[in-house]
Amino acid sequence: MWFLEKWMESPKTVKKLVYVLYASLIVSCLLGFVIHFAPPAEHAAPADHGEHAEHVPFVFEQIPIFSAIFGFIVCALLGLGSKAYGHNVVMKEEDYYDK
Amino acid sequence: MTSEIMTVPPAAIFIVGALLIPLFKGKLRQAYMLLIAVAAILDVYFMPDGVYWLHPFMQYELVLGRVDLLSKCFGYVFTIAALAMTFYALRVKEAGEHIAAFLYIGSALGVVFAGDLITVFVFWEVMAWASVALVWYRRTKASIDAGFRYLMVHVVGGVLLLGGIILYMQEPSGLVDGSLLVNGSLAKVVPFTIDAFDYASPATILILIGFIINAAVPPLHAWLPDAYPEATITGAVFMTAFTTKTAVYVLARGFAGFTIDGFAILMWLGAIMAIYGVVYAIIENNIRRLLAYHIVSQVGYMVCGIGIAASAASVTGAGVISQTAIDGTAAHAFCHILYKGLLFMSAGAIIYMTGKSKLTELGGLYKVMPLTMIFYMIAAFSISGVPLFNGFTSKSIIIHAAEMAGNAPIFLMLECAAVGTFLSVGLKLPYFAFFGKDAGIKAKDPPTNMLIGMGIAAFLCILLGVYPSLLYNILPYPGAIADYVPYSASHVIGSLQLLLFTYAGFLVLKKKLQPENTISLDTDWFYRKGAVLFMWVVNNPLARGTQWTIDATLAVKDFAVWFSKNPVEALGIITDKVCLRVLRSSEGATAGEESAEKVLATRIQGYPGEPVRRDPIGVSVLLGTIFLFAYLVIYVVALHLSVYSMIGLLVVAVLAGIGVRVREMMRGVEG
Repeated sequence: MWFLEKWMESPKTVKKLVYVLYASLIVSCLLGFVIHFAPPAEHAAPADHGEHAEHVPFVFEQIPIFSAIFGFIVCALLGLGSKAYGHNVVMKEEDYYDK
Repeated sequence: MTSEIMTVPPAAIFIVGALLIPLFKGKLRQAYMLLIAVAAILDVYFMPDGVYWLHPFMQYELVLGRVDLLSKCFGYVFTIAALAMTFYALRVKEAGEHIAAFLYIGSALGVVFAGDLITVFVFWEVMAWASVALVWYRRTKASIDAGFRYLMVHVVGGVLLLGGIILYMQEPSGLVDGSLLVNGSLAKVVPFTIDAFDYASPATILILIGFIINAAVPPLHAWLPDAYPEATITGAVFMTAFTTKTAVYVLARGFAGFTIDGFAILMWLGAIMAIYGVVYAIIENNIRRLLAYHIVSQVGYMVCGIGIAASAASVTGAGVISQTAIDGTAAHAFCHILYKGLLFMSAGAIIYMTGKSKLTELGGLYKVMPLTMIFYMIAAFSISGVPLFNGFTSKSIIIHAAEMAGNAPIFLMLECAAVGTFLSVGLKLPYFAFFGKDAGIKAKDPPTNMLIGMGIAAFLCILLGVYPSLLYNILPYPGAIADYVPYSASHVIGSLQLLLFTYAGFLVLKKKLQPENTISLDTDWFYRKGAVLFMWVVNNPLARGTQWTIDATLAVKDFAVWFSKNPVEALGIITDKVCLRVLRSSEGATAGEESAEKVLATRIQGYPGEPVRRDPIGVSVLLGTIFLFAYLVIYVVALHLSVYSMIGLLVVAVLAGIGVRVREMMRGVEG
């Protein structure tokens, strides 16, 4: 696996990967807009499912990049919140129960 | 056609198979164990639907075979996972550990195919006792302690379950004629049917608590992250699959309509649980404990799915929503067993090969354990719900059911947990274990058998991600999700956005999320510290209390013995002691003290002396006088006095006596 190692460890690759990430962030958001404004092909299916409940998305799901915003904010809140909770309440040194 | 083939209870294959393991050695034993696992898969496949395998027990009938789509779905994944995990565990030398694992798998299958509650309870207990052996075989002090805590929690859970079952038997639906299930059965059955417990009563609540202890629902979950990381490498892999998932199964079977006055408690417990596990996973340092908290989180999805089914019971179109939610729960349990098993296999491989289990000690492992890294990432992508992996196709059904039920808070809570899952399992753990700062660990990929086990699980994770219909066809209500398309454009893009931006968030917060060398307190604190307090109470106040009664009794006895040797002299000594104390406490009256002390010392030393006085006449005159005086008081004076004034007189007399004696002492007494 030396080739993978060599490739992964070079700063150039890391830089490239970061660009790939940026690009995919942007592309995913753009795709969100595309399917939001595209004609709803799947919803054209006849609504004759009888008792089947109609799939009604929530209001916030109408925002094309809702998942992106939600993901980022929740990631930050969970990450920082958990660490804050840990540091202030539950995180103890490893021999806590042995004392 | 399938009914032509003779099948036996799959539980029996593993349990009987377990007992024969010691007869084989080496390669033969390995082949034998794999054979058992394969036989069990085929057996489940060929089992016809229906209720059969009744067995009389006391005046009841045990139902060992209740086969329908729900039980078969769990039966499939249990046996398939058993095969992959048996591969992983092949190299374990200890026959006992294999026996424990097989008994554990067998009893889990026994619960799944049980048609009555007594059978459920029996297998439930076997499961607890067999699995604790998997913890103890690690043979460290930490694992023995954790095993005892694990066992105590499960024994309590089992007792609650039994109590619930016994109460349930008093209810009208709790004890029915066996002939209702199978023609010709004469005995009574305690049935365990679909939605048996859709109302709150002491019986159903006790049964529910028994079940949710095994499902690791907070605050009753702490046994799981406490014990699993202390189990053996292979034992932990088995444990991830069966205990919590049998609990999910029994909840899905019995409690899919359970509400307390219309409040679907399981839905909220599940959603809270999903986030709770994630929060602890983010601050955890031990890799297996981190993954254990993700069992809590993922089982949260399943419990939530069962709750959604219950909550939808009163909404229009409820049938479909409930059925979709139960389908989602079963599908997610199926996928979860595969990817969580694989996660624990990878983490186990790391610990097995490097001897380290803390993120703070790991790093850069992708160079030396590339295959482990790949398998781990497949599982991590699966649990995170990355498209083309199985978590994407199963988790989304539960979230879809929340959407159908129009329940925005639950929907958002589950999405939150999804973000946290990717953050800790998909990003944090691999970053700090496989990439990140190179810890310079010398290791290599684990042995072939372990890789095969991991390969089977990884293959299935991808297979069910790419062809979800394979899974959807064996769900309990295939009709309900016939129209469900996991790979819709909006769902795929939404998921990608969620995951990519979580990744972006992780890169921003990487420094803050650095693992730390700590442990995190959880609800086990209450019984771990509670036990310390309990032992202190036993060792101190309680022990002293018992000792005090013994001491007091002995003192009374000693005094009585001493006193009876010469009562008159003893009384005199006591009086002198009191008088001497009075004398000392009065200032300036120290004249006779010294001589009085001397006299007292000689009296004590001479005690008991000559019990019978040499001047008998004097004594008898004294006694006569005392008795005559007593007669006088009792028959003449006392008639005119109340009790209090009698006591008062007595006190005055005693004080007067002491006063006289003190005066004597001040003047100086001789013996």
